[in-house]
Amino acid sequence: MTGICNQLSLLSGVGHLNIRVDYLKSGWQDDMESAEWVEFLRPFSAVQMLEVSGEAQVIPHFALALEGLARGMVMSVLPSLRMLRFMGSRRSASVKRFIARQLSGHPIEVHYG
Amino acid sequence: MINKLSDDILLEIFDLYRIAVVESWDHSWTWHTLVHTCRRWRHIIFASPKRLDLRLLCTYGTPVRRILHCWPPTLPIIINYWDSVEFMHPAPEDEDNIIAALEQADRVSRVEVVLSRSQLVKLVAVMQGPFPSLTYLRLRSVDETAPVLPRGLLGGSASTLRDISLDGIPFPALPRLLLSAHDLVSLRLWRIPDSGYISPQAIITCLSTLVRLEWLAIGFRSPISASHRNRPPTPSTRVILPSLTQFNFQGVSEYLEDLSARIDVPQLEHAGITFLNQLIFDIPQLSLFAHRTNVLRFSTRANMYSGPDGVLFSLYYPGATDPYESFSLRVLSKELDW
Repeated sequence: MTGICNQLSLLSGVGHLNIRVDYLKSGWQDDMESAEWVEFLRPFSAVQMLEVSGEAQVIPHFALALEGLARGMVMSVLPSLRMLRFMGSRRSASVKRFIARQLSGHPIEVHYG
Repeated sequence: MINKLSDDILLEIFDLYRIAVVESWDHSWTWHTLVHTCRRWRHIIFASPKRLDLRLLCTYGTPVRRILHCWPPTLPIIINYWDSVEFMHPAPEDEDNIIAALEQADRVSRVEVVLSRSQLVKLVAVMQGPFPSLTYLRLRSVDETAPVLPRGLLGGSASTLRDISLDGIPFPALPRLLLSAHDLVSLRLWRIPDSGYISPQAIITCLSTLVRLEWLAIGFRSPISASHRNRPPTPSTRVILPSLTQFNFQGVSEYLEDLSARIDVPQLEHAGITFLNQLIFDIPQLSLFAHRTNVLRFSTRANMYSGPDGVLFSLYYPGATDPYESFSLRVLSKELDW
């Protein structure tokens, strides 16, 4: 899906992105490396609201992928983000560190629920 | 009291009743109960068959051959053996009734049948000649292997058809039939078996004549049946489908690439795409196709869902919710159940 989304360049008009992962194959971490999350998100340059939900392991992994962004890449992923919502998850230090490094000039709300 | 009403008033009442009770999916209304009321009502109703949209509905359990002569021989016939809940094919005792209805070829306006392999063979045998009133042809096979429809189906002419739906039924000669289908509004070829493969070029050739087409669905049963043979170079010109608003595809990306490279769909409102069990996707033509339509350009919300069957990616126009996505792309990661 990452490869497909990267080829659909008109995704830059999307302002609200909802990701739900209900099923993970065994060894899924190998399938969806942190870099793949980043590549998946890259076409969504106008996303202001991002919701992530699903399997318990998904959100920590997703948060780690954001935290692991190299300094030069932080602004190239989700540069318009205003609100981040993690459904069914506890607070994440990784997310906090990602937000702290975002230099977009506007606040980003983070919700857990 | 009711006898004091004039014929015109009664006709008006019958027509209002028809409008009130008719359901678009039901194809018919119970006018035959009214004609049994009295001779006068029967006369009024049969004097206005077009206004009252009188049609004979042949469906599960209807003793068509026995009752056909009881009704005016000019009434259009609807053959409907389509249980969309259970996809139940007709019982053996229905088969002769379907044949009896099809023998009235000039009168048959709709054929919608879920059928077994042997029933399809019998049905096709009586559909070799022209059906000059047929507007709707919808066939679904309940068997894994359906026989290939012959070239001479409908006498080779589909000039009155507005809707064709073949589900699990191979018809490789269909493009030739479609060349005469100038009024076609909906074309749905789904679960196309290996024996029914039609190349993108052949589809494009006939699509160029279908200027009224609003809905196009092409879906292959398996990656094997969709596997693409002899890929041609990308053309310099494209066919415009001026009326198409809905497009669905299921198969492999190579086939869709060749198709999307050759069409322009300026009015497209929804595109639903399913890729079957592929690991590598190269879709530059699909991306260009999307550029030429509105479905991606004006979509502001996206969902990505990963489940046991694969991944589904959906895009929505502002304010739209499920199931009204503008674009959906599903990547199946396991074999289909059929």
